[in-house]
Amino acid sequence: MNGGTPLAGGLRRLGALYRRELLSFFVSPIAYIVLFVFLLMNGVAFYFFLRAGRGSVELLISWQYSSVIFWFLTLLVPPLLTMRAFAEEHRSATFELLATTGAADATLVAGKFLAAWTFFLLLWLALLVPYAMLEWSCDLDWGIVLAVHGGLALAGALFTAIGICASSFTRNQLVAASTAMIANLLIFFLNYFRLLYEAGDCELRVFDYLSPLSHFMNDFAIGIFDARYVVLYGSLTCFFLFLAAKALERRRWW
Amino acid sequence: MIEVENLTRAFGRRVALHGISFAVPRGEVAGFLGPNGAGKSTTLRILTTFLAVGGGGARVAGFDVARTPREVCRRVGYLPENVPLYPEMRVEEYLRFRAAMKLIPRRDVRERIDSALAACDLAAVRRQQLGTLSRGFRQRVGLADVLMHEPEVLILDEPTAGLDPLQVIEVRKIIGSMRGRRTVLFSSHILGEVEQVCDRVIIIHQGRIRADESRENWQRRLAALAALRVQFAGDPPGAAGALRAIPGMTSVAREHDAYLLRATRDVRLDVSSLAAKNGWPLLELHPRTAALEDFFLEVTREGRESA
Repeated sequence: MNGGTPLAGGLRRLGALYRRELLSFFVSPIAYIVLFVFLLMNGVAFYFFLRAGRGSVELLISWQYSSVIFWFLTLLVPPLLTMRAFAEEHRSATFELLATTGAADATLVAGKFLAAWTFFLLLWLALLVPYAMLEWSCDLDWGIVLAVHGGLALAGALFTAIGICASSFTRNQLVAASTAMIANLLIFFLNYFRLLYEAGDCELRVFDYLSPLSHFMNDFAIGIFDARYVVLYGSLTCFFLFLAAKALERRRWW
Repeated sequence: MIEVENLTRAFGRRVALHGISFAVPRGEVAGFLGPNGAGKSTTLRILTTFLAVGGGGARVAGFDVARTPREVCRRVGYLPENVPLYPEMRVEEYLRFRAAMKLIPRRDVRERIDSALAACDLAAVRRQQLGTLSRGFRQRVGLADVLMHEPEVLILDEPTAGLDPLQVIEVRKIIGSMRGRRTVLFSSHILGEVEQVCDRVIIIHQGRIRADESRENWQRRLAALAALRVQFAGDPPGAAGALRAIPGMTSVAREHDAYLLRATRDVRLDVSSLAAKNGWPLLELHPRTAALEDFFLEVTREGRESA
């Protein structure tokens, strides 16, 4: 019965859960709808930005990764991917079976998070295909593209964690998705607080430091990938995952 | 194997369990009975560590459910009410997932799955999606999952609810076959099946244990509830008084045109000689054995009257 050390057991459960979750994306219609909308919007944006910039790759990149479409997909897709995570388990009571296997709440949260995050990253990886095709015709600065995708991985981790957290509190997928979307939008709109301050105010630096929009515009989009972003997004992600694990534990005390 | 001591649990202000105590010895099959909302599921969820203990304590397979939940989980097979399953998964795929979650050693997984599929007669549907299975098959998948890690204790929440009579017999057979090898606690509100399968009956009502009896004990209590149904032709007016006068009679109740007699001894001879003496033609003299139902009604009466 004992599967070796606790760590080995935890990793085995994590692996099984991750595989199940990732596979379940590919048998649910929502994932295909997201995939379709995602590729369509990014593809159309790619085409028009390339035309509008008269073939300038620099303009293409700066538009592609700062447009409304970009933020729409970054902020609103993770909640759609994570809304099922625990809400559906709570609703159908499969959570009862999952929780009584002896798996730690943290393992369950991590498995669901990693699966949703992987799916989100796969969506963005698809955008690299048209960029790779540009390589034939012109000089592409891969540093910028990779920095932006690195930034996407970090911001995506945070938004996915928020989605998982929202899903762990409720048994209603709609509530989970909309709560997470509102939270993501609030984080995004932090940037607009900077309009209240003048250049040089120290509050301005606080909002610059916290706002994803300024991270992408000021750093990722010019190829800067800073370690402090790893710390910021990493710690926020861990915080929301911790909150999710606590929400699961809370159900035991009802 | 299962020891519950003064266990309490409240949900907000609503108290679900008012300090219940009972024990199920190793190898026994115990039926956990009670009306809906009596606290059955709450108790079972606490015993499987899904819900936290409110007060008091419980030990399963020798481990405290609050202090060592992992050890308890490893030794308990739990089948929740209505058998929740992932509809998109296939039977075998699901069992493989569950085997990994339960940390069944990798080299044993294939063999355990095969034997669980065989034991629950699922080989024919092993590639089928869980969402497309009928109620009976879902139940069997749940049982296969529960048996796969060879737990010492089985905790089953209404394992026969919603099944057709043939399926009920099958599930009952599987439960019965556990006797002596595993300790089983299953909840039900079908009294007949408890009567057939169980070594012990625990009755819970309004969050309190009303009875916790071994088979011999509850059968003795049932014998005390046995009655004699008597009917005379023409319903003679003096009959009730004459019946009451028979020595040892404890109660004479009216049931339509007949009487229902309860006595401390066998009164059949007295009744027939009474009929002969008074010239009342005897239409019926029918001993009626009490069923678990009567016992159940008796032990829960107090609560119903006060409610």
